[in-house]
Amino acid sequence: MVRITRERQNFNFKIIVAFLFALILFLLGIFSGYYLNQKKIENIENLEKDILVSLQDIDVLFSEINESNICENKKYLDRIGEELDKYAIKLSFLEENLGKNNEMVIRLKKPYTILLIKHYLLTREIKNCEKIVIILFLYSNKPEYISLSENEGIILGYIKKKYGNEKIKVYSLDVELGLKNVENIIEKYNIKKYPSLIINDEVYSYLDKDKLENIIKDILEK
Amino acid sequence: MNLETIFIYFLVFFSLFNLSLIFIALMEKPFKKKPYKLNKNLPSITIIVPAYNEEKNISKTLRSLLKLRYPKEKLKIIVVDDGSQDKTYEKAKKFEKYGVKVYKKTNEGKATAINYGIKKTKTEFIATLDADSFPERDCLLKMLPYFEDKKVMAVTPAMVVYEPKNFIERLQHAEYLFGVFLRKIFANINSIHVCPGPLSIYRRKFFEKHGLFDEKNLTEDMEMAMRIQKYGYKIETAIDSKVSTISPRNFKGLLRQRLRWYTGYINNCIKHKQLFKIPQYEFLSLILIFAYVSIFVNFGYLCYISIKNYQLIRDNLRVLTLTGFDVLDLKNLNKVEILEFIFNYFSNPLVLLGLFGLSVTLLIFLIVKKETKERKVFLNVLIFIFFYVLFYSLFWFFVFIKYLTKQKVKW
Repeated sequence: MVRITRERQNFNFKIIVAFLFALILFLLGIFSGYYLNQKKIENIENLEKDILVSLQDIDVLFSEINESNICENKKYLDRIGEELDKYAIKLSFLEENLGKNNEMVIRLKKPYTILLIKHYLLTREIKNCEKIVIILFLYSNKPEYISLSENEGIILGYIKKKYGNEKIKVYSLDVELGLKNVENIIEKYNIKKYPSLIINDEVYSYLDKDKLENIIKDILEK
Repeated sequence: MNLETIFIYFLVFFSLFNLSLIFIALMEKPFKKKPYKLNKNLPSITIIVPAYNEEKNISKTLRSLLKLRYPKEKLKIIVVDDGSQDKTYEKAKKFEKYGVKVYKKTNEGKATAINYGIKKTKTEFIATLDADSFPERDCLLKMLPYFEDKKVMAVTPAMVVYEPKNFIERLQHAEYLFGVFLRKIFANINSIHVCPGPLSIYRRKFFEKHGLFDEKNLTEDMEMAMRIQKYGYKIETAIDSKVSTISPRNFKGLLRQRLRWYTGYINNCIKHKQLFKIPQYEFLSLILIFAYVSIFVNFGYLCYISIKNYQLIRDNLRVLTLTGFDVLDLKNLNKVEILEFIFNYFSNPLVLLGLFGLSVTLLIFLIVKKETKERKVFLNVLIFIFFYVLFYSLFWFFVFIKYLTKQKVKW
């Protein structure tokens, strides 16, 4: 047997150093992940505050508006509408990141949906000032409805981008939030399955892109 | 914690640990090169060129050898034609007038050809060079100073792919450059376990004490390197000594080569299994083990990436089919949407980690590019970054298939 004399390399020490070094980097990563998560939660809290402010805003508008000045107040309504769009984008990212059934997401969606409905009620009044299409989109994230609901959501997003916010107002309402306002609408229009669309007071079930576009064109050209 | 999260955490920690080891090894001996000079006291050396059906390249290889800067009386060049069926022998014969010795034997494999050459010479050092490889002029001068350390039994060069043109060659070009860096790191912690065919120099004494090349081995160069390590000697690398080699030009050729290499790796690990004794072989054992772990890490990583990309494509296809493939103008993109996307994308720790890994990889390529003075590497590096894991996993997959179905891998 040949005697093997390998040069010692201070192996244990170096391995421990490498391990600790890796551990420090790893923990740094975990902490920065935690920090970023914290930032996200802060963002959510800010979003919640913003929504509440908008709600107060729209309440003021509610109390001031009457039949004679409705068309003059349109610009205020549009401004709140822009905010609504902003909230919608942020909420959809939150849904993507945290999941559709996340507690925080659902908590945020409630005031947001109330804001939507209030905006919808006011927008309905200005229908007589100019030609617009108002779409109430009722969807559900229950397993039996979610796939079609998501599809309809994608189509509506596309339509909104194509025709612009000026002419098309889309209000997406989650029917599973247990909000009285939403349930009133469901009762009023006697809706049984989802997704359902209420376009200028007419009820439709799932519409693909072409059918939806035809309906919109009809209304706008009338 | 689901399986995905556990795998990701493991992957991250494994990568960070490897990175720390590389860093420590790098600190040990930074990229310092040995000074070299052409003088009369240089030792005698023989370059053995085993050749089998290499009529296309043998002349170019021999010309590059004749151009080597080294005292003529100290340098012997031997070509051993291992029973070629083409004109290799005739072409090599033409170089006899320049002092090249050419032998012909029956075909028995590369290792037999090298051993045949070793028996024909008595010089202190012996170099082996594949017949499709072309060393730079100063290669020997740059490599020999490493033998000043009496424990060094072999010195390897910086191997690069000769004139890469197509996709497969470019992929290998970047892979070899990465290998140059790794081999330097391995040398720092005495863990080199392959002496590549394109120009490795050995101390003759080792052959006398511990035998010639294993003639039955699939990867005789790896076996020799492992044997050198097993007996407690060292293998060095000269990062500034560049040898260009012709690599497989198509997928089939590359697959054949890798089946041989990787199967050879498994076989030699079994043959020299005492190298896995961590207390004795330290970093070398660790690296041999990590090589196996990295196969599975690569498989897992590939699966993860595939699933993610599949989901991405599926979601996009869904949007496109629903909207009748009408892609709206970018100007319709909302500013809030873009900002949210950026925030959400970059606040993902995995994305940040990926970017960190990418920067380290690019840094490594920058270092090697500077050391080897290779040019036009950018495209190759891109190909490497996007496709290497796929190819690497694929080759190992075939190796396992062959192994499980007990098919023999041939030369």
